[in-house]
Amino acid sequence: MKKWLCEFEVDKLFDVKDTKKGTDADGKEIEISKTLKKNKPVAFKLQKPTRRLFEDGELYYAVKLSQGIKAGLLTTAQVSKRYENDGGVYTDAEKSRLRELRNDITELQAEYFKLDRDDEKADKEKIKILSNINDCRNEISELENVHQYIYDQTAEVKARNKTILWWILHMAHQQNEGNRNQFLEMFGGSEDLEDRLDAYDRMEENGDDFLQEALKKLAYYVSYWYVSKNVSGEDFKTVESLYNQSSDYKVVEDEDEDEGVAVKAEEKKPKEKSKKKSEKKSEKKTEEESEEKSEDESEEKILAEEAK
Amino acid sequence: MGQYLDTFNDATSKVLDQYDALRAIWGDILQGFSYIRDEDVYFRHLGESEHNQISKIQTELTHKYLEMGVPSRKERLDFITEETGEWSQDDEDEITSAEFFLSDNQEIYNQSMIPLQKKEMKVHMDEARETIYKKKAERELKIGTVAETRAEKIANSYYIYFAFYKDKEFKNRLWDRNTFDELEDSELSKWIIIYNSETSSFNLKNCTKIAAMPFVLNLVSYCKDQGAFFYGKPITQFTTYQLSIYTKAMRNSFVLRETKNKSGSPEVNNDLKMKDLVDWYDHEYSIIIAESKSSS
Repeated sequence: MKKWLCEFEVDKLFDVKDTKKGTDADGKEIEISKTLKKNKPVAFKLQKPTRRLFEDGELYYAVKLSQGIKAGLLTTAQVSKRYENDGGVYTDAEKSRLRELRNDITELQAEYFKLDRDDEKADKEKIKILSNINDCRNEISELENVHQYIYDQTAEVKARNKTILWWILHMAHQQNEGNRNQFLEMFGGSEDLEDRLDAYDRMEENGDDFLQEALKKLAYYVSYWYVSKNVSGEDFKTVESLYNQSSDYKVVEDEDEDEGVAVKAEEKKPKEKSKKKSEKKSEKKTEEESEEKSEDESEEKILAEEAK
Repeated sequence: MGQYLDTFNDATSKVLDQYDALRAIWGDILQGFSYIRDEDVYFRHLGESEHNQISKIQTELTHKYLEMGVPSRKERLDFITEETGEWSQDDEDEITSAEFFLSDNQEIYNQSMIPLQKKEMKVHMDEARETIYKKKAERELKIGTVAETRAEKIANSYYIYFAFYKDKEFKNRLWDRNTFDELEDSELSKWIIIYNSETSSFNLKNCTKIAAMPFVLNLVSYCKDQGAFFYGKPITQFTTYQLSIYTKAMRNSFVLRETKNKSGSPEVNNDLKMKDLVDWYDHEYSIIIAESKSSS
């Protein structure tokens, strides 16, 4: 009996036959049928991994990490060490600015704790100080994030991304459209990973917007689960709302007008829009996933080239 | 039972205060299993055969993982030492030196009678233990997942699989192999806690005390140094606890035969302290061995 971590839905348009009674020109009673595109969300579930699956996932990561290192990829420790030997990743100006900002935070914190009065003026000052501290912290994290890219090509990051894909292939279940109480392994139940990868490839290349959206959402959920570890049901609700904010996927149903002609349904294509920083970060994770997948087959070649 | 016995201070408590609890533990050791009432399951005391099976599982898993491409421990240790410099010979030396400190001082600590000196030594020994723990944890973190440790971890979980049965004839295991492999971590953890709680009764301290009790020594004195007579089965089929009690009881029986102490073994009465009884056998044994060495 499988246990589940979470469930989510992806909207999908289905052809629905709509039959109504009417009368013809002679006043005879007839049935008028038309086919409408209607939204019928399809549910997806992530299987709660068993102990054996956890073990397999950890072993897969270890194998991929070892392969990356053998192919010449640097580890995070090696990259850090190399940059440290060269004086670190930051420029002198950045170093000086970081020092300034950290000093500012210390001073602001001291000021905050000096305000022991409990009046309206003190409250306003406290809010102003907290806002300044927040600005400093934001600037520090912006400066630090700029340099995160140097770790993107490390053996650990490559192995982690492949392992996330491995988890997607093993955890994802899709609602059976014929029997909606039944959930089937989305990429087949084969013991051979290659078979599951083939199934993933076919879905990715299929071009169906519904499937693309399902894969994207799966990658988002699994990445979050993998990186965060102990994720509760409540956490997945947060994941859902974060994802919905960043997603542009929407289906447009046919309007059910009595006299109307069936309007051709269409799926709205994603459009660019500004995103909050956190959303961008999360989306980057999913993009990495799909990039990783497409890279996967030729990974050995790429790693060998990088090793050279 | 183990937890109950832990509440006694052997230096001050009487043998008779612990007598029944120790006899109850001995009863379980003799029958080779314990009944866990809360779960209505039988905890089988493992023996040579099960230990061998677990070693086989571990060896096969290690081999399988290496074939899969999981790095070996040596491979990773060499890598973090020689390639990345995350670990060094100095780190290894720190562990070795702390281990030597402990082994050199443990005996002195056990024999020390001066409370202040003992207290001071304990502080330093605890520091050494903490260093070993921290440095080893740091090393394992840097080594990461390797074939040997992963195989060991999984093989160790099979102690649980082999230990629990639905019946005292050991015909029906609590789980079949597949169900066991699919157990969730939380469920497995529950059984690990039960396992540890059960085995805590059979620790070295309690086995040493049991082997000095008249209810064991009287039986041993009739078996003519033959373990097979004592338990009614070949030594290879003894459980680990049965073997532990047998070897200790044999030594104590030897002491009773060979001692030159005219007052004989301490009489288990209302005054005898547990530590005095156990120490008497250790002390007499040392004298007998020393005398036999000097005469030869």
